[in-house]
Amino acid sequence: MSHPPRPEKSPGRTPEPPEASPKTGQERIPRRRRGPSGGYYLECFLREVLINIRRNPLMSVASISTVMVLTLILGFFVVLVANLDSLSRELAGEMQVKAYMSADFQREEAGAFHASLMKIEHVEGTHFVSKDTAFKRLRERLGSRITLDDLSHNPLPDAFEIRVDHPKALDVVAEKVARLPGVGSVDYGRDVARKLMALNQVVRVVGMVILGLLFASTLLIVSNTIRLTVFARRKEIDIMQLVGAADWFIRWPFILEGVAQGLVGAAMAATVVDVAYRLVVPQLHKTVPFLPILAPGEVLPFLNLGLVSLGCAVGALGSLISVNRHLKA
Amino acid sequence: MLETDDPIIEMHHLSLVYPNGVRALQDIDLVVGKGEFLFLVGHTGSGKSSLMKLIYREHDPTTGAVFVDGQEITDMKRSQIPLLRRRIGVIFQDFRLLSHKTAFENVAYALEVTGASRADIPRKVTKALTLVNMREKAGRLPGELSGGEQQRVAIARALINDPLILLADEPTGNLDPDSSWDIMQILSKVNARGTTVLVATHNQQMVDVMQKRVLVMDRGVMLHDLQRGQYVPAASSRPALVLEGV
Repeated sequence: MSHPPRPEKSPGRTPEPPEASPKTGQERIPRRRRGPSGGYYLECFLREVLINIRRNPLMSVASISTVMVLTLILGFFVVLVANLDSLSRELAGEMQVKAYMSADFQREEAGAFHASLMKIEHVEGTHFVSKDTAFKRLRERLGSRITLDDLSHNPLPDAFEIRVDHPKALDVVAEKVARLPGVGSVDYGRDVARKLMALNQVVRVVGMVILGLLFASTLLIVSNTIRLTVFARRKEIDIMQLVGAADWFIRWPFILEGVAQGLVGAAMAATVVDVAYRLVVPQLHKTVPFLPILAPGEVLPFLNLGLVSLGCAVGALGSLISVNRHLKA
Repeated sequence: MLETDDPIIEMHHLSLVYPNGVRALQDIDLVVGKGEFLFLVGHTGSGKSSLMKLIYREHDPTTGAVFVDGQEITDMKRSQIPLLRRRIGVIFQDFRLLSHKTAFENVAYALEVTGASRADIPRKVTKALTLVNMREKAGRLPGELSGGEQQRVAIARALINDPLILLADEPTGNLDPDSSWDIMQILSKVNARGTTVLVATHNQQMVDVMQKRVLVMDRGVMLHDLQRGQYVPAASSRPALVLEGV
């Protein structure tokens, strides 16, 4: 420590007792409680956050990238589950049994067949779809992407769409319809939907476990990053406590730092998911035209918002854990 | 002299045992009147710092109670501690200034963390720095200041919230004699304004010249409480006087 020359003092000055005894009656300035605005605090805190990130850029990178990995995986996972969900809902939503008639079914028998269908319990109504109508529907659904003009004859059978009053009755009705003469095969979306739902369930459970682990590790990494920041600034925190800073005042800059890291990481992940989905959906539509894929606008706004919120939450929570650990110590 | 009818610090049957089993304080009884100036002397490890830490609630006593300005602080809620500390200024041997902040910013910091009105900060900080004769060097970083100057900044910071009590834990331990007397002058000035000042020190000459109340501690026990006292070496096998700078 340097001691600059201090001319006003003689070097070998004899010590004198400093000025007299204490006076009573303290000169005290009444403490005014004109509370500063939230903006003032925010400015103070943001300044601290920027200083910290500048002082420790590599640690911030570590936090940001782990948050990004977490939210990226979550993003893709959510997109997958949302599509599986909508697909199975669409299929399950068709509460009808389709009876495909055998090739020797004559259209004149349709009336009689309708009557025998209506006698089955739970059947609400039927609709005859001739093989020509079915062919036309298929052509419409495929649009111009696949042409059916090369077919020499219509391979589709005549069919009855049978509405039932309750999804649970689908099994029973289908079974009874299958036993009627003239019926080639019976189909109801429920079967596919059930398989799809089972797949969806598996994806969800596996995804939740993976996400849980990822969440925990992200939290750990973020809280460790902030812990290093806390450690680097422990002297400052001690001084803050010494001069009477409230715990929340000490906490906020660290929490904001965590939120900033989470926000950046999650925003990058959300951008990647967003761009990827917008690129992939048109391709999928071209390749598998009849697959009902959710339009980007149906998923992405909520997803992006969710990912960014999650990133911020992970950052805040990680910070809170390490700062609290230090403050309570 | 002793204004025990208007006490600012009271300790009753106070003892402190650290978690590692070290008995830092034993059955301390102490009453400090408002506006008093006291020295706390004793060897390293005699319990001076521990005693001070109990006053600003850095530690909780194992048994006994501490009152500051009539309020029991030992059962105070954690959220109340910052409010207590705004009424107690503390300075240390190692100054504890933030190296990346200027003298002015270091002092202002103590105001900022209490949420003081922003408009008042420059005026208050300048006033405190003037009191310790550091107004001209307000823009310097701690590294550009001498030890004595750093301690003066620390005093300004300790005083910024107009504390009732100023605790000085070996304030001159790192300073040359001249600077030490400077600091003592300032502490006297602070005391003259009405703040109670408690100074833990090894500096025999200073204690002898100042003729203030002296509390002598040894191994966690209060040996003597002398009005207008002199430095009394504790009856111990260790050297009574610790030389400065050694």
